[in-house]
Amino acid sequence: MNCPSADQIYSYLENELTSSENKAIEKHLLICLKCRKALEVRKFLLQAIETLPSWQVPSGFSQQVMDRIFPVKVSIRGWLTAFASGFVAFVLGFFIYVLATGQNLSSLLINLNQSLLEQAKSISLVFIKFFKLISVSLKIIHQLSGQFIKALTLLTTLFSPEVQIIIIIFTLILITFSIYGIGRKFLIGEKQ
Amino acid sequence: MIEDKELIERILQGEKEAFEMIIRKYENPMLNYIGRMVGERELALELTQEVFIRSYTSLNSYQPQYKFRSWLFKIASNLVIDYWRKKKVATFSLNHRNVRENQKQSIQVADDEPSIIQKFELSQLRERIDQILEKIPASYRELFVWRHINELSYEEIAEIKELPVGTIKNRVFQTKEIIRQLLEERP
Repeated sequence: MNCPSADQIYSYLENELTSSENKAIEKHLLICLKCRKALEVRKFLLQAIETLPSWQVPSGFSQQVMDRIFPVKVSIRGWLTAFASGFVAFVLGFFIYVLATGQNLSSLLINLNQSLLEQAKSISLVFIKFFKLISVSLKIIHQLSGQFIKALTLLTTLFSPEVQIIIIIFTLILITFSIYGIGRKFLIGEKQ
Repeated sequence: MIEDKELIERILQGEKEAFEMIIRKYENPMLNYIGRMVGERELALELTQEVFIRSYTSLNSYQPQYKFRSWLFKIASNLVIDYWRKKKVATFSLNHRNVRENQKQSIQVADDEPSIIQKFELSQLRERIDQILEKIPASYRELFVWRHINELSYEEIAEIKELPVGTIKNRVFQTKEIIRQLLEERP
């Protein structure tokens, strides 16, 4: 056999050759110093390559990937379970409180009921006042808008279009300055 | 250890934990491949995550007659190529003087071949190899990493790249010879 090529040497080192090819190379190596040296060099190289430092993922990597694939979703069933658990905990806590304090359960329930009723009354009063305020505000806005439309109608009947434009511009300027003035007043007030 | 085939069947039946087992099995081999292809740890971790996400979403297209890890590395290879295309990095050019596409002839051992054995300690040699690897054309480096770091067989690599086994072997041998020559050249 002639000297083996570099790829044959690699194949020999990686057990990629047939047994007859292996034997032929081994026989040649016995008589060829150059090929023995070439084999040693490549063996050393392969040894280094196969023990190269390994890259490691950080801990929890697989969980991170799983979280990206399956984002956590709270289902309605989950919410219902949480609500039911909370309710059961409340009822249990209530009974433990009754047992620990030795209070009469029926009187405690009546007291609780009364206090809840009081709370409901006060909340409903706030709501009624709020809705009254809104309805009054809406009435005022409605009346003002009616007056405004009447004024506009009067404007169109009394004055010529040119005068109407002048009056509208003048009114707009007046409104702008009024808003600006009110704003300034508030700002000055804040500064003081 | 549970076989990939069984794990895949369990995933397809809706068992999420089976996919976590797949991730744990391949997370480090995948990071070693992608890390040596892109060079940056954070980027490699991000791309490794992406490989597992892509593999899960396209698991229905996996054909069981192929090895699962070959399929997984194929996804990774496509992802790395996509990344380079987006970044417009020309890393797949064959720019080394010793690398010739479809080179069929065998590399002969030179008479006066210098030896790296006298030149380096094993630990030094490993360090140098990692540095040199970054300069190897990506299409060759990829095959080298699969063969010698991920320990894939030449047949598996041929399956991933859809190339003849002989071509794959030849390219991996050439890569090793380039590394050896570069090691000899450097002081």
